[in-house]
Amino acid sequence: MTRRTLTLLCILALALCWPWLPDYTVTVFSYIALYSLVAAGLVMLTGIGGMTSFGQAAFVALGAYSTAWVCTSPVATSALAEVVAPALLPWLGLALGLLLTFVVAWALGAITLKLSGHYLPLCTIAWGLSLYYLFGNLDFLGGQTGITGLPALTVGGLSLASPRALGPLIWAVLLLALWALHNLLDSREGRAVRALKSGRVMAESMGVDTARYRTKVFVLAALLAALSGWLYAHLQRFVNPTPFNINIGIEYLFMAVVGGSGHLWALCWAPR
Amino acid sequence: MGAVLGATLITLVKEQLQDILPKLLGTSGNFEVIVFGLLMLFVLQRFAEGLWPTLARVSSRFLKPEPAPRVAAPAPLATRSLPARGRLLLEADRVTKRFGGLVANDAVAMNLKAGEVHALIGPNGAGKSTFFNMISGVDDPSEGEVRLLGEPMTGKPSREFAARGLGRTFQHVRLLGNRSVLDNVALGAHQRGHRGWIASMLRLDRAEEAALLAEARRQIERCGLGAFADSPAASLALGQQRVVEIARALAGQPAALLLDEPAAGLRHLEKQALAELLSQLRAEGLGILVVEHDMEFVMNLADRITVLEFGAVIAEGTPAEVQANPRVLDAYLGGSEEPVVAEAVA
Repeated sequence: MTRRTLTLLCILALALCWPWLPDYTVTVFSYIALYSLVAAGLVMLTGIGGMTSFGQAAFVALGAYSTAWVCTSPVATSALAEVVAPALLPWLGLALGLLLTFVVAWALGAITLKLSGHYLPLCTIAWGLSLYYLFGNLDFLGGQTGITGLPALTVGGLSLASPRALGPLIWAVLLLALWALHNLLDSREGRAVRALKSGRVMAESMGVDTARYRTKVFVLAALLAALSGWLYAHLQRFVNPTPFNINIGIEYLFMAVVGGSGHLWALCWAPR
Repeated sequence: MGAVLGATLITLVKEQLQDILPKLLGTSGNFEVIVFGLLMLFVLQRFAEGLWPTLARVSSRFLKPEPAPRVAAPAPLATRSLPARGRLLLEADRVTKRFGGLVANDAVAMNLKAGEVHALIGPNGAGKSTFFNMISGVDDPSEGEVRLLGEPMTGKPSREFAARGLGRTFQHVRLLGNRSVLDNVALGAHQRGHRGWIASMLRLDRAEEAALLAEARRQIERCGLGAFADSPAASLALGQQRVVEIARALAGQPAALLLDEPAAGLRHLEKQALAELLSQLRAEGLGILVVEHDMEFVMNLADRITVLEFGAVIAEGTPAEVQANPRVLDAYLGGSEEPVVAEAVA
């Protein structure tokens, strides 16, 4: 048996017993996949790219709040009511979340990723905290009480209201993301990302634009976090600032470090 | 799967702790945070790399290794037409570098032509490393100018130097130790591919990737390390790692090759093999600049030698001319410094 077949067997086993798992287990498994999505981004950023971030929870919040706002705020729903069907609103929320995260992460990355040593992690704590307080203090986002009444996702007329129905989608997204990240690491661009960790001089001498690659990895990790936030919002159907505070940001980093921050996936561990 | 493993463990442990701890202690509160912190300390102490490598090691006893992936037909790579023999590749035009009041390089002028081996020598602290940094784009001169194939390079990053055909190695080997030699060398060919992140994620880059790896393997074999292509770079001897760096520079198809002490740490036979490789590259029309301490190696190989002392050029010429130059003899024999010991950072 190879590593690949073992991985596939585990996924198959999870898929087969999914309908018979207790409700509680299903919820826990859904959360595991949501956290894994963020942690996978952090593995790319911290374990492979060599940049530590405590602030990923803020990007999860961006993803979650974007869709919550698009789906529930009177301004957005009334403006969009004539253009799109209500069932499509969450998808617009996803698009907005990814776009916002892209812009914010690129801007933050361009400014803070030049910092080296301890300054970068400290800086990520700073903007992680400030985004958290921002979400808690914006009235149109519900302040500390948050936003309730998010619609469930529907795919092809099928409502994904319960964790048992949404879980497979979350896992599918996670597995797809892991597959894509694994492919990325096994390529020319992946080699350039790995080279970032060993210092700028070497990578630059090989022709790698290190500043640009650092920003790109950072944006990639942020987008994965936002994706997780979007799924989270439609799993909970409720969003408030608490799950995005700096403790959770630290926990995400722990996940990446405990699991093995240089190791995204069984297949990419095996030396070629 | 490290990410998934970590997320699973942390989620499950947290859930359990939140249930058990209040019962155990008799009061409610966020005690799990404390236990969590202690657990984290333990894990980071015992498994600094995370749990995944340990798991992978244990599982490798009963898991078979992956079969070699199917290799796509390689796509043609971008190739550079090398400049004609004798053409000026690299010119340092009265390059001066000051650090505060210290003048590390004082109006150093030298050049490198296609099809020659040019050696840069000098006692410790002569300013060789500073000069090397400036001609490879790591640092900018305070005065004067470095030109690469006629193009002024002041203010340009070293990746521009690489793009214009300069390959280099490092005095202190800079390889990714846990990646294979092949992977390390393929990094040198980075600029010869162009497929982006999305294409890589969707595996649309396989033809280009196959070509890059084939090119890397060819350079490794040419440098005589074919048997080690799939070993982790850190498992090689230091001298061999220096040769891996040369292979990595060659994978970028450079016109000019800058080698920072390539013979340091090599055994006698390895030095001979290296000299043969460099002669062969010279015959192919590359210009090679060598900063080196091994006089025997330099004198047998170089076409021209430039001698630095106290940041200034004191002699330039063929090995015979330089050996007969009284100022060189004075610098090496008259001074208190040993010419053959490892160089301090100038």
